[in-house]
Amino acid sequence: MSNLVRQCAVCLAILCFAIGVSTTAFAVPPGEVLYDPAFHDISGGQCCFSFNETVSVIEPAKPVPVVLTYEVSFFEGSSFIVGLMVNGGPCTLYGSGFIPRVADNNPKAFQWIVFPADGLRAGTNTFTVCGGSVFFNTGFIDIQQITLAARLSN
Amino acid sequence: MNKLGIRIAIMCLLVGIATAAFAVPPSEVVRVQGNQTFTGTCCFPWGETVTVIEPRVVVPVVVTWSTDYLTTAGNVVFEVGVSVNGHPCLNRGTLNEFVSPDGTATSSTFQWLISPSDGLIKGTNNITLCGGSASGGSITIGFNTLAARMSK
Repeated sequence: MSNLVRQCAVCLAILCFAIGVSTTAFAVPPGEVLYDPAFHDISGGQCCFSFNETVSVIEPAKPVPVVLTYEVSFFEGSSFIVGLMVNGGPCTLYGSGFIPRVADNNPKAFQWIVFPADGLRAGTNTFTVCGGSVFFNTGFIDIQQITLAARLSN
Repeated sequence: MNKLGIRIAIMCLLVGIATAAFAVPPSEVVRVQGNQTFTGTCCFPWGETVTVIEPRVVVPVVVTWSTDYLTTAGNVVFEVGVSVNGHPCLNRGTLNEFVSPDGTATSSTFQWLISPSDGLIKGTNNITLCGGSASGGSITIGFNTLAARMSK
């Protein structure tokens, strides 16, 4: 009887440990979200260059798609396009990306989906906003109130 | 010791099942990298569908669609929404005329909250993008993403 109790206790301990690990895996690491209220005059010219805004996610052994949302208030500038650099790769459009030259001062929101085939790998993956002017080397855009968030999908 | 091994295996299986229950099915997200032009009065399917699998007690679903687009000129307004399991097009938002001054497009993002009363059922639910013109003209949809997420 005492053997049975001991075995059950060991099993329970292992189960609790496994649940703990599993719960931790679902928690949102700080790197998955970014908020930057500051004003930025982005004047790097024609697409594409980094906007220096990065979030990261930790992928399981078998990577799953990542859904990213980027919201920004913009004020004036050239026709711009925004995309993502995945793990330092080339700037790519993973969904919508146009910010028109017409300034309406309203926040713009974008949703991007990155699939495993786009270069995701097990462990830490970084996503950096990038882009630039569509036409001109002298293009610029003024933005602020930036949020960038990533979440794992499947 | 064999019994202990079997018990550990069963526990691991249970944990695995629990983990799988939290996973999001692949069809909850769609990404389109190309252009599609639509003409016609609202509402008809726009060819993009995501799927969610609802539990026994059906919960609301949040659907987000983000797109580049441009329209023809002439006060063109297009409506866009979602159809749940083949029901009529719901929650329609508007894509206002955008004729670019320099040949580029603009972008717009919509988020819809679908309630169980909108036609969600236990099990597999198909949520299809739909819409059409409210005033004539045509719209060209560029790169876009559609994603569904069950609320908790």
